[in-house]
Amino acid sequence: MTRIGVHACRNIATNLVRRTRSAQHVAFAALLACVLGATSLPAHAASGPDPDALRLAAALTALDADPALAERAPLERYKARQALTMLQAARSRDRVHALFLAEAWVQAAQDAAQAEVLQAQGAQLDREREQILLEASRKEAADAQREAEHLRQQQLLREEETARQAEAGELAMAQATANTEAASAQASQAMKLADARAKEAELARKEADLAAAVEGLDDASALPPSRRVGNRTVYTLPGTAFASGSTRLGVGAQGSLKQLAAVLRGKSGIRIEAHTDSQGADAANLALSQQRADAVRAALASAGVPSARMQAVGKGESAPVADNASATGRARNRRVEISAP
Amino acid sequence: MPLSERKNRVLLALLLLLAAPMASAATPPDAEVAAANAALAAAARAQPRGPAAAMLADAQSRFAQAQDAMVRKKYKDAIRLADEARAGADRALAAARLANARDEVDTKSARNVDLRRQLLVTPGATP
Repeated sequence: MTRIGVHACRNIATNLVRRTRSAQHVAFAALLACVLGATSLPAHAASGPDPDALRLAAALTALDADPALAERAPLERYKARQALTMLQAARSRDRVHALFLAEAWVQAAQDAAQAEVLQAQGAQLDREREQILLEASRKEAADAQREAEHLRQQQLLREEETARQAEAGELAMAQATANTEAASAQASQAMKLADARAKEAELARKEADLAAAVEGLDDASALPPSRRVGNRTVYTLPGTAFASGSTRLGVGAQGSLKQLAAVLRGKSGIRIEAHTDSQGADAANLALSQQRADAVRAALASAGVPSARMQAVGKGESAPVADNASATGRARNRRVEISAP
Repeated sequence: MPLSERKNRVLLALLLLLAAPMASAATPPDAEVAAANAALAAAARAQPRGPAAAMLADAQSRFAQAQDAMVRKKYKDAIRLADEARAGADRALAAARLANARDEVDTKSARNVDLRRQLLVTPGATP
């Protein structure tokens, strides 16, 4: 029973003693009512506001004032307010029970509100995840597009390079063809030129042979020109006595040698020396001169001069009588000299 | 009205006043017990851990006492204990949901960071 209740009942009991008998019954009833009613008074009626109720009310107020939590957990918040009202109205014997309920519901309201905030955060994180996946998908698509563009550019470059190489190849082929044709034309031209020169040389040779033949015919009845060297007479067959590069005596030279053989038939110690110009190799000239010397000796021998009296020597280009730098000089150097005492 | 009659009426009124609460406690509080039982089951489904598990254990203990009070026909006690078991279960449920929500947020945050790093950050770039 609270202090106020006790005080009121004490006053009633005092009055009960003082009053009349009839009044005592009324006072008795009032006392009983007072006893019964006192048990129904709130526990804090005599001591002022309940600090636990104040604390829990402050917690609920703070929950309401928090902008992030204000609209959260309305059911739990409602139950907490109900429990708080019951606590404020609870009799002393029910206070522990009411406080337990109020504590539990206020705490549940706080936790439920925070849980709802976190659940909203979780939903936001789910949306963020979807956004990340979307961005990743876009990025992947962009990467793929960039890669495709890169590959396309590379393909274009390859095609351009191929076309350029093909063009260069065609040009090179055309150039090569042109070069080949030019070389072929040049070779053909050179061949024609060579043929022309060969023909010209052949003609010249034939002309020379004809000239020599004509000269030989002219001189066939005459001795070869001679000169006196010491006690010997030297007869000289000119270079035209032989065809160019040949060891065969021309017609004129053969006639001339027949005349000379008539002179030399009774002589001994006959010496035949053949000479060439400086064109060609030394060994070849030496061999050619020896063969021409032998040809002259054979011609003289066939004309009646005994071979044993004749000595044929090829001197090659070793004893020139004129300058080999000119055609005239080379013609003079090509000669056969027959000497006898 | 004679005094004895008035006295009898007053006594009758007082008896009625006293009998009313007793009459209300004579009915078994099946609804309160069922509500508490449902709240405990809901809290258990949330798989509370740590402090929430302790709260649930306390609520289950109060519920057991309520059932015991029911058996002993202490219905007022049964009501009080069932209400406390229900409130405790609801508190445990809220605490479990809060803990689960925290874990979920932490997990999802870490997952998003990993996902962003794996899918969006260019290799070699400074994050």
